[in-house]
Formats: sequence, structure tokens, C-alpha cells
Amino acid sequence: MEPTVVTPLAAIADAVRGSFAADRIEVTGRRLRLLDTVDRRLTDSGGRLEVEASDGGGERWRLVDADGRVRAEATIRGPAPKLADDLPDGPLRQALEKAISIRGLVASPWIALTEHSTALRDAAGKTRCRLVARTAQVETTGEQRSAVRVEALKGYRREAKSVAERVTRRFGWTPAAPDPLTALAPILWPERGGTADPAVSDIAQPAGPGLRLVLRALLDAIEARSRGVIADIDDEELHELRVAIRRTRSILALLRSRRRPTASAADRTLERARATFAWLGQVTGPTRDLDVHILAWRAHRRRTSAEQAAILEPLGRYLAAERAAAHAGLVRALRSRRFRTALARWRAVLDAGDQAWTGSEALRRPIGELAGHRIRKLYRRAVREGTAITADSPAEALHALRKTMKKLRYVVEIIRHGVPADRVRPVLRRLRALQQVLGDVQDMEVQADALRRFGLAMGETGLAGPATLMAIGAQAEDLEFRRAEARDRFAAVFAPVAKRKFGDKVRALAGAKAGDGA
Amino acid sequence: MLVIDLDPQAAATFYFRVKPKVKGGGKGLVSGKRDLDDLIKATDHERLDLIPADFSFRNLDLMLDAEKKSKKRLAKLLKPLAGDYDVIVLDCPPSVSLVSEAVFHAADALVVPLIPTTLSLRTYQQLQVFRDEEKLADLALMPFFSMVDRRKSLHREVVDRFPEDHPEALGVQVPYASVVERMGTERAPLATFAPRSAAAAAYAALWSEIARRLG
Repeated sequence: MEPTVVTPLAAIADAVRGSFAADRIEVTGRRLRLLDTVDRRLTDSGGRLEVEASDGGGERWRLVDADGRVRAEATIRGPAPKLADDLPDGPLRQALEKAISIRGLVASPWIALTEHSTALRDAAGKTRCRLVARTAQVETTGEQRSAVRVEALKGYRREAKSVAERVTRRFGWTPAAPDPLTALAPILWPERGGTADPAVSDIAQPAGPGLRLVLRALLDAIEARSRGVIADIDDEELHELRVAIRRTRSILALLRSRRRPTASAADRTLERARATFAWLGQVTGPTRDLDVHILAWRAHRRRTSAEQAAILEPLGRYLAAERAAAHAGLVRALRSRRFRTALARWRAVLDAGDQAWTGSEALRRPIGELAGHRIRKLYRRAVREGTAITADSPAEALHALRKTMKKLRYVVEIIRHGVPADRVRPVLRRLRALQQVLGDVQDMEVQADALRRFGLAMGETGLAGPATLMAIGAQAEDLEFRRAEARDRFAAVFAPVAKRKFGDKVRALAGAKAGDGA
Repeated sequence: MLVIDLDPQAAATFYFRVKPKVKGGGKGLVSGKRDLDDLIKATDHERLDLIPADFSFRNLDLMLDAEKKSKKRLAKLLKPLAGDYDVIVLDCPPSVSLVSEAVFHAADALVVPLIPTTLSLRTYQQLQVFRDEEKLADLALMPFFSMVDRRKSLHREVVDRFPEDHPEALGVQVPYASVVERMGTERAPLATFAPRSAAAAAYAALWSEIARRLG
């Protein structure tokens, strides 16, 4: 329970000090901002990143753990980096890379932090614990959080525990509330809405009403991530947007009536939605491709020497400019009347109630039956496509298999909560492993081709000198080499997927009955 | 920073107002059966912890001797703390013993306070010989003068001449000052009760120089 009555710290200290003596209350104030990713990875990992103006200019960044201990710090000069990758080398960068990966940091508004504190000392004058009251207030909104804590000192935890117990006995609340800065996190980085991979739990349900809820969760995600993409929070917002779009398309494909796909009004509504999400898939593609190129450029930069990395800087600038242009186009699309109207219409369809979602033969069939049919069909296709691939097969053959595998995985994932976990997990694990290899093969080929194209364009426009062009060539070669390595792995990873035993497992999922789920 | 008070006289422990008692005594410290982290006490100063001295440390030599690879024992015990502390200071008793040997094997640098007297210099020479005999070439020696009274001609002579033969000497000299002795009554570091004193400034400069050398 948190304190509801604001009691002056001096009064609290006096009431709970026992045989200790309390120092005079010290009051300090700080002004700071917090940084975290939009999905609060730092907060969730029990840390926070505090930013204050530095005395010598620039900003002081401190990564602090839940107990307020500084884990790593650095002075940042110039524009604040958004990615851990852009931080100067050192412990802070290492810690952040681990905690936030490739997600971007988003700054909170300025926060005023006031701290009242006192030390409780024993007869020898040694501090045994500290009482600290902290209040954090967001300057722009006035939102504030407060907490009183008994800070335990190393080697004196028993004393802190006993003082904390006295606080609870005397005042009725526990002085163990999270730090007010941490408590502000849900206000500073609110839940974005939607989930990237919703699933059904009852596969006996008619597909229409059951999948309507999944589609609604995906629409929430699409709307929320679209806002993130417009704000250009980081690359992952666009990636998650595209995943939600692909999953939506996968469900819409599942709900396609087999005999006469546009016979009923419901079928025609879904057909319109298919067109909308196909368009969205298309308009989000170019920016995502460039994001992937930039990620690859960053990864390559990390692998090469500082000298090579400097030579490749013009490529980074070129990619950033191309990406900015693509992103501007994407933002236009996401702000367009077409996008807003289409999504509003789609939401109205999803909100229409279960009755409206039984208007076709596919919508009335049980989800398990519908998904089972699709799983069998996609698995057969995947085995056929994969078995036909030889060492001489063109890249397109692997690309086609990748698309089939992705569709298969999405359908399995939709019903994953409706079938026993020990049956679905091994199948998904195998499918993901294969998809990883297929992804590597295609991504590296596409990236190598694109790099040569970029090199050509940069050479023609004078944006790159011979050294940069040669380095781009070397990076393309590096990608080709790693593509070949991934290509060599394909046969070994595909073979178990094509085996009868694995096929039986997939077919067992396809034939799962209602009530089989965990 | 962590200070480990290995001197049974427990001066550092006293100054930090911590009880001179260690769970399990010296044996608990060197046997490795007790997690060293459990012995650590926070001081009243931020980012400064202490493993206090214990009267049983007077027999630390014998306890170390009973362990295998006694000279490298301390280094092994300290290894798990490396991730938690930037600097670990081992405060040794003023003698060359098995404890000192174990400290020499564990440390990156030996900061040696010298009173500008002939006897002090002799002890330093013994230390140098000892380091060479133990083949501890990586152990940096950082002697510095403390309790310097420039009114005394011997002090002036010694501190001025010493760096000529000892380029490893730290440049800072800590003056003789009664305020330093007040640490015993204040039971606090000099910088907290006499931050503007010449001695406090000298200690601050001394630390800067040591930190710079440690890199």
C-alpha cells in the first residue's frame, strides 16, 4: 500500500528511529529527463536511464538500477543518439545494447525530482540506514509520483528491515514502493495498444466471431504502430506494423470462401479488406527495405575496422537520405484519407458484432477445421516447393518457399493456444528455424543487389569516391559469402521438415479437435 | 570503491565507524567458504564500502599459510568482486609478511606512504628488492611522502632528492598537519570535515595522480 497522507519525513523519522538518532533532513532537487524505448524495455528490465545537463556542457547519461545504483554512465555531446549503436564505445553503450537492442530511445519531458533524506545513526554515529522521500513531477503536465523508502546499506539490511516494519506498524503503509521515477514510466510511455501476435483459444468456435477478435487486436496494433511510424520512433515500429498487416492478411486468406469467394456481402467486405491490407503491405515495403539496408550497414560497420567504417560513411548518409524520402512517402500514405477511411471502415466491420460475422460459409466453419485445411494445404505446398529445390535452383524458388512457410507459420500461430503446447511448440520451432535460413538467403541476396545499385547511383552522382565504392563492393561480397553459407545450410534444415514424422505432427495440428488445447 | 582493512589495529575500520568484526574472523575471510560479499559493510560515504578488520587478523599469516597457494589466495578471493568495484584498496599492516606477499600478488599497484626519514627509505628499498625477488614486474610501485614537515632540513633533503633516484615516486607530498590527526576524533575522512585544508587538497591530488597512473 502506498502512503496516502503526506507526512513530513522528519515526523516519520522521529516515529520510527527506535534507538537510532536521525540527522537533520537534507533537501535536494534535480531536473532530469528519462529515456526509454516505446515498449519500456529499460523499465521492464528494472532500470532507468536518467539524463541531466552536464556541468562541462552536453548531457550526462546515467543507467541506474532499481536500487538507484549507477550501472554505467557517459557524457554525451551533440545531438542525443536515438540508438545504442550511435553511443560512444564504453560500458553505457554495452549495457544499453543488451537492454534495448535495436529499439530507439524516446525522451520524456523534463521532470523535477525533489528528495528529502535523513540518516539514522547508531550510538557510534555510524549510519545504519537512510530514510528517503522522493517526489518526481513531470513539468509539462504536473503529474507526480512520490515514495518513501528505507534505504538499506550493505551489511546493515537487518536494521533497515526493522525500521521498515516500524513504518508499517506506525503509519500503515509499506515503505517499499517503486521509485517515483520508475512509477512515472506508464505515464511517460503509455501502453501502445494492440498485440502483434494474438491467437484464439477455442478452435471449436465459428471462425467469423472467433477471428474477429483477433483481427480487432491486430487492427489496434496497426493503428498504434502507424502512429509510431509517423512519429518515426524507430525501425521496429514499422516492422511490427508490417507483421500485424501480414497476420491480418493471413487471417483474411483463411476466411476466403472456397467455392464462390465473392458470393455474399460478408465475402465482399472481406475482399475489400484484403485489397486494403495488400496496399498497406506494398506502401510500407520500401521504407522497411531501407531500414534493413541500414541495419545491415550498421552491422557491417561494427565488423570492420574504424578506417573501413569511415570509408563507408557516405553509404550511411546515402541510405539515410533514401530512407528519409521513403519515410516521407510512407507518412503521406499513413496520413491519407484513403488510409484513415479504410481503417475506420474496417473497424466498423469488426465492431459490428458476431452476428455480422456469420454471413458466409467460411465464417461459420469452426476455426480448427478452417485452419486445419489451410495448414494441410500449405504444408503440402511447402514440401513440394522445398523438395524441388536443388543446388542449381534460382533464388526465386527459395523465395516462394519462404512465403509459403511464413503463411503456414502464421496459421499455426493463430491456433497455438487452442492446441496442446507440447504439440505446437516443436512444429513452430522447426518452422522458425527453416524460415530463418530462408530469410538469410533472400535478405542477403536482396541486400547485395541493392548495395551494388546504391554504389552505381552514388558513383554516377559523385556521392562516393573510389575508396567508398570499393568498400561497398567488399560489403556486397561479404553479403554474397554469407548468403552462400546460408544457402548451404538450407538442405540440412529443410530435410527434417519434409520427413513423414514431422508431416504427421503438422497434420495432427491440422486435425486438432476442440478442447485439445491447454 | 572497496577498502579491505587487513590491519588488526583496525584504524580504517575505526575511522569509518564500523565495528571491527568479521563473520568467521580471519578464517572466514581467507578460507573462501564464506562469500566475501557478505562481509562488506557500507560506509557513510556514497560508493565506498569496507570489509572491516577483525582482531583475529593478527593471525592472518598463519591462516593464509594453512591454505593452498597461500600467496595467490587473496587474488583468487577478490576476483568475484571485480565486477562490482572499480577500485579495491587493501590496507595492509606495516610489515613484510605472508599477508603482504598475498597483497603484492593480488594488487596492480602498491601505494607506499613514506615518512621522510632514513628508516622509511630503507623499508622502501626492502620492498623493491622483495618485489624483484618475487618476480612481480607488473606490480607498480607508487611511493609518496606523507607527514612532510618542510621546516625540518632532513625532510626537505629527503623529499627533494628521492625522485632523482625514484622516477616512480608520486609527485604529491602530504604535509604534516594536525587536521589529519583529527580523523581519529571526527571518525570521518578529512575531506568531509576539513575539505579546504592543505592536507585534504594534497590527498585529492594524490588520488588523481594514482587514478591517472592506474588508467
